[in-house]
Amino acid sequence: MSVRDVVLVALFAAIMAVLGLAPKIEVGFIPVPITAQLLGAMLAGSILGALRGAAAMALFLLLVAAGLPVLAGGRGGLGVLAGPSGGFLVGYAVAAFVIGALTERFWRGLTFTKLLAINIFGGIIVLYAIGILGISLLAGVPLKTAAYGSMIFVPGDIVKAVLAAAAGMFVKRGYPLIHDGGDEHQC
Amino acid sequence: MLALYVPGNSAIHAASAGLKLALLLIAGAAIAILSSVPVLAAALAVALALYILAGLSLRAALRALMPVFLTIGLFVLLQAIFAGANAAALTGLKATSLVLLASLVTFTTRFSDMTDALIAASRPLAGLGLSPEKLGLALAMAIRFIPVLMKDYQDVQAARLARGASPWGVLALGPLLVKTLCMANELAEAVLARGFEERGSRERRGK
Repeated sequence: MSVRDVVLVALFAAIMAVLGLAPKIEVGFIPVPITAQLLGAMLAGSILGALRGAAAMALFLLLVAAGLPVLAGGRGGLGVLAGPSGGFLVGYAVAAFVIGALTERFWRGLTFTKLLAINIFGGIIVLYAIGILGISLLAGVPLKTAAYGSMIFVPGDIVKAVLAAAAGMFVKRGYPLIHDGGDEHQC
Repeated sequence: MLALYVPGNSAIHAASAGLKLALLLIAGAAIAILSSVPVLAAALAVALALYILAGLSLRAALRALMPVFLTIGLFVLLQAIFAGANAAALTGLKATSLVLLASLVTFTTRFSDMTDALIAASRPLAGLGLSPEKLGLALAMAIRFIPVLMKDYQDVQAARLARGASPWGVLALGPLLVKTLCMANELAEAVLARGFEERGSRERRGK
């Protein structure tokens, strides 16, 4: 990893923390606040690609594990990682990797719709599979019960996928970092 | 932003971060495998006793962990409905003791000691091109970026509101992200100009 990559990884780890600290935005009919950090994982994958995206999430998890209260709602520490939703947190790294790998694969001719589909696949389908498995292991709950308890979050997470896809397309046009090296940008 | 560490001078505070993490891993695996209510109740009692031994206020710990306990409560409730009282008790005891033990390590270990231990634990990853120096740099920069990004977000939002724009417009994250990426680019150039890469590449040649 070059120094530039290290800076980008640190930047997206910090974006995760800021998404957790930012005041919550309630979106009308959806019961879950929009500030949840899945948006950061989706952005990291869509903008940085697989390796750097996953590294950014791993760095963020390191901050959490070391005891900084950077998860939404001022949570943090090993207790949260060991709590029932710990699988979702670890899953952020996998989600960012999957989203990043698919974004790299379909980079040429990428459209908003494709990027949205990629974010829904990696950020919702893959992430929930890991998260639900995590609940089942950490709380000793059958998979079906774990899945029931998680479904209320799906509508809010679809909104996040839309925001991430829109932002990803904007950055692709204005400041692409995948397949372009990201070295000759004028700011 | 304050770290979750609670200062103290108990034996648990004094123990090394690496030792605490290793013991937590073993205890966590044991709790995950166990499936007897009395044994798990004993584990919970031990966890609570350790909090008293560490001189931590249980009430403050409960307050800090409230969102986690609410999630546990949701799954205990679901278990009680779908699988009966015994399964609900198992879920509640398992999850609560796991969370309490893990948080005990966080509450009694300094942020810097914990990052040192976690970086040491990540040393096997050095083969993947992740040198401890770069991990340290990334960690320090991420922490420094947090208030910078908060300020950027607040500035953009204040400017929008002053112009009478809708507060939702900031959800179009693109422009804010490009501004931030430019800032990161300048920072990377500054780090390179100060010779950080040179040290890294010499290290690569040495290998």
